[in-house]
Amino acid sequence: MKKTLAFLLMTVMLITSIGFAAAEDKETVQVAYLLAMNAAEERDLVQDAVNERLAELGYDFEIEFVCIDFASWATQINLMLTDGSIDLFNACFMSSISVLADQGSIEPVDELFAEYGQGILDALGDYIDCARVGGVLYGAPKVNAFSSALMFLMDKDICDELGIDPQTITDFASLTEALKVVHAAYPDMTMIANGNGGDYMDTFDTDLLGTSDPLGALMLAEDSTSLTVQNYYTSDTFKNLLSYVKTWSDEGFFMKDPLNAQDGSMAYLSNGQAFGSFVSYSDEATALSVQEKAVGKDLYAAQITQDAWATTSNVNGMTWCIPALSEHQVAATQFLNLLFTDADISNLVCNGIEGVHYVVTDEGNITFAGDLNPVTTGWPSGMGTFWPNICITYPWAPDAADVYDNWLASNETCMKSPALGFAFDSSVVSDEVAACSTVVDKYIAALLLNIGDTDALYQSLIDELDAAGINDIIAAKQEQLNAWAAE
Amino acid sequence: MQSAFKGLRRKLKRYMPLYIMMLPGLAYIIVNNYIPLAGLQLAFKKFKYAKGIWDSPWNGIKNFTYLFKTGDAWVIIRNTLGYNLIFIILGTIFAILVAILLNEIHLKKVQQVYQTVVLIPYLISYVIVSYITYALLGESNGMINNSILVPLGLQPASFYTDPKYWPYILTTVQLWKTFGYSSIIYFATIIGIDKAYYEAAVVDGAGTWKQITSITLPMIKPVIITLTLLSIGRIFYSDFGLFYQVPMNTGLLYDATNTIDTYVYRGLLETNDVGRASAAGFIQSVLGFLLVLGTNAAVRAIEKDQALF
Amino acid sequence: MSFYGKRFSVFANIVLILLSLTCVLPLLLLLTSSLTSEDSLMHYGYSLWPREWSFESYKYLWYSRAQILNAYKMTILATTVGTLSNLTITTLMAYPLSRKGLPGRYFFSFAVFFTLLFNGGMIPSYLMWVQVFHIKDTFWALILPNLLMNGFGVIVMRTFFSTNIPDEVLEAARIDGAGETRTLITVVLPLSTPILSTIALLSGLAYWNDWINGLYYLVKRTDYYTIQNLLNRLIASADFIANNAANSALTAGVTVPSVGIRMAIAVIALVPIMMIYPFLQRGFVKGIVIGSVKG
Repeated sequence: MKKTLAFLLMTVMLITSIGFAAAEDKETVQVAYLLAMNAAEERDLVQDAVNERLAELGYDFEIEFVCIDFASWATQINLMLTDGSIDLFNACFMSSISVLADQGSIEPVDELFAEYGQGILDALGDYIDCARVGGVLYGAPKVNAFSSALMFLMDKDICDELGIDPQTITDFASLTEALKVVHAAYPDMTMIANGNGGDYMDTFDTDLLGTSDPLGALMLAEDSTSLTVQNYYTSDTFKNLLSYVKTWSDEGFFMKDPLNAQDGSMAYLSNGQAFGSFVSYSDEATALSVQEKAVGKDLYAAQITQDAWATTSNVNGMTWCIPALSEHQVAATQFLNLLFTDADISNLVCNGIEGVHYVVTDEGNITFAGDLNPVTTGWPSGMGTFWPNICITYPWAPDAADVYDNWLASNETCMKSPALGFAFDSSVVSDEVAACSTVVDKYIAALLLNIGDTDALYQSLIDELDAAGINDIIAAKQEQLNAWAAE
Repeated sequence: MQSAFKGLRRKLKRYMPLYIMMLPGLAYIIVNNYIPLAGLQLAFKKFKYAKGIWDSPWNGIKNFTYLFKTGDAWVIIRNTLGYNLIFIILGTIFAILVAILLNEIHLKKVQQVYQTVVLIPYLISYVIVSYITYALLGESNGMINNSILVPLGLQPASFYTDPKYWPYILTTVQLWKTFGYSSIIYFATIIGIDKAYYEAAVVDGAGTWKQITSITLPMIKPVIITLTLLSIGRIFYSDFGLFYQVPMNTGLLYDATNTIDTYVYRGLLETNDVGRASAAGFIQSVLGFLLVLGTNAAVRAIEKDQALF
Repeated sequence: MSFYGKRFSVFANIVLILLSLTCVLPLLLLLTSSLTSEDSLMHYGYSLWPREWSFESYKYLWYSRAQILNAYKMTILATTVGTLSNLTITTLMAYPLSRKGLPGRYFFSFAVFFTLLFNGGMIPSYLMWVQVFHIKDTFWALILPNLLMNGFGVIVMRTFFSTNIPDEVLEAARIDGAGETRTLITVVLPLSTPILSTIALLSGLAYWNDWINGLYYLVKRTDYYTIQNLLNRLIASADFIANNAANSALTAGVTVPSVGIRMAIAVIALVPIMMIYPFLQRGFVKGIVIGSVKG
């Protein structure tokens, strides 16, 4: 008996001492990082540098990067949300935050931000309301140029050759005229490139009310202050677009076999098969600075829609959230706060280690250290827009040092949708959304490329949407919007 | 009573080694399949990540309504069942045919080459198959239009905008992709047939056709029944790669290519609803199960030993 | 030996040659597309003879060769361990179920069959394997979930035992005083080489092709990735660049030959198993017949 007791006592002491030893390990915050094409081989170096900085600033937790490649991102984040093995993540390329909030997978952060996230609130100002679902704050949108207008990017050399001035292209009509000129000179070239599955244009002049579909939206160009939710597919904006689509198709501006395109539209611009493509950006300068690097050619940008609009969907597309099951929510908030405010940590995560991955030039921007390039560097160079605040970091050459000031300025001066800050909670009409999504998928590519008897197809689209319950969706959105506006 | 009990005990003692043999397998299916079956309750719940599977609130049958509220409900059910029936019938015939032919090749080396080659389609993923299909069926660059129809003076066909071709296209692709794999099991069975039967048949003067129908087919009947019953159990499921990737997710073709699985995938893309996805799987499983029970009972009535269970 | 007659033999060869062509030509198309330049592919589509040769796709993969070789190692390891385990467990499960006198035989068969139809879903499986068995980021994640024993294999093997092992053979063994285990090993298995090869092949293919286990359970230890996981990741990178170039600065001007790459990746995934398969085929011969029974 005595022996057993002594043995038990020793075991208990052993276990508790191990427990104590474990408690001495620092608290670790798991931060999810998306890998696109670079495998981040020097992840440990950057991670150590960040942790050093954290210690310098007096924090007693560390972070660990959980690097997930694009193919596995949505699945693995989703699974980690079920068991709390991730502490901080960017809700991109997965369900919207209203869906995540409804599923109970992310934590409401009003209190956490009020106490530990003042920097976040300062950096975003009123735009942070776009991350509210039902009035409760669920995350922090990354800092970005929030407004978006439809633009047309064109091959600069061809424009100069044919005497086309991008300033003269200000709407669909003038664009069509210009394309006719180019097409006459280059009959074998595609005028309007499309990407995978025929997709070539984002919805424009429309407020999607925090969702990713226009089943029930605010038509901003038709009435800039109205809070009336409409059926996008019966709106004048859409019908006007379709009439131009017919013209473009008759003139032969589209690709052959557009439905079977396997690459993004920019690839066709890159290899000279296409003359131009639609994109959406806050202003022409930003469009050019981003795309000329990607396409590898000189381009012109022409803004097609009259104004650049800021809507909730523009803002909350990349929102940083804290999982409900995370056991390190305070530390995660503190780290997120640093990502928004501390230039050293932001530069580390966006660009890498100074001297190792990049060097600062005299102009205040950065270039690769040594002879590294985007593929060989040990820390991804192009993923700055993934992190919360690229605007406090060094931009990559050839962008000027103050390129981000433009972005922040445009956020103040752009047109803001009357529903900015409202996000629709679609769980009340999930069945109808599922049915309507299928109907739209059936017809939209054919309508936007003028394939087949588009008048009949358009009528089928409208009829089937009615049958699938689009009016219920519109009514639900209107109800929630009215309630939100009343506050 | 006592003696019956004793009889049972004696039986158990005799068969005990067999029960012990089954232990690893049983342990595995309990762990891998039966414990996670608790997740089926999610079909009737609104899954809240923070609460987990057990504590999420019940939802009645609300997760099932989206499958029927759509005008496409009939289309997706018809497509799923219709295609599967065709695949089962044609697939079985084709696989048996190939297995018989393979068995007829004298030179072992040649036989092995054929065996390896017919397995190639199975190893190519559906994404790649969709590129190959496009290479054949593309409207402007495709081989069928360029090398066959136009030189013959016919109008080029627009395969990717007209659903009417697709039942044939999808059936051909599916058969091509699976016939090599399906023939393996039949082949293994056929080579196990005792040569003595054939020798006797030749002596009796039976020709090729007679030999196939009176020896080969009856000898592989148990395998045919087993495999068909198993396929019937999965008759409400469809191969996502075949119905989504090969038509390149083209909306105009939905009438011929939309199945229950693709509808669920597209419908839930935005909402990612765990309960609804679970409900779809639940219905597919239950319906398939009932169908198999029925068919199995019919088989048992006709030939007791061939039934699955 | 052919009992069907010479004409049938010729017929068989012709049909099989035609079928083989339909299987080989697409493979050839894959190969030549992977060696065609990206420009040519985008302008002219696919053709059996490249308009413009290019090794660009393979160069891009060559850069990742260390990862690819490692993934191959992992795949071979996982497939070997997995297939051998699967074969063992399946045989041990199928043999008892084939013995007609076994009490509860139908019950256990049903229990196995039931697993083929009903599935708890991704999340319950994940939670169980991760929280109870802790296989996340370990080698066992490649072996244990789903593939270690398959109801389909059990049922097919059971059917084979029931129909191809004559009762007299088993009776003879019992009279000789052999227990069930002896009978299985010395009598049944030698007669069953076709089905053993079949199940080994089916299970081997399942392990080789599997990408789900890696996707769900390998987050930090991507050095355990199998070739399918790695290739998916490479394809998705190419897709990501192609589709997101229009929307962000994430790609910083790197062009990736995306279509050719997918072909090259498909070729790399196929070639090794085509080389291993002939070795497995040796098992497809009829087992030794015990002459003493056939009297």
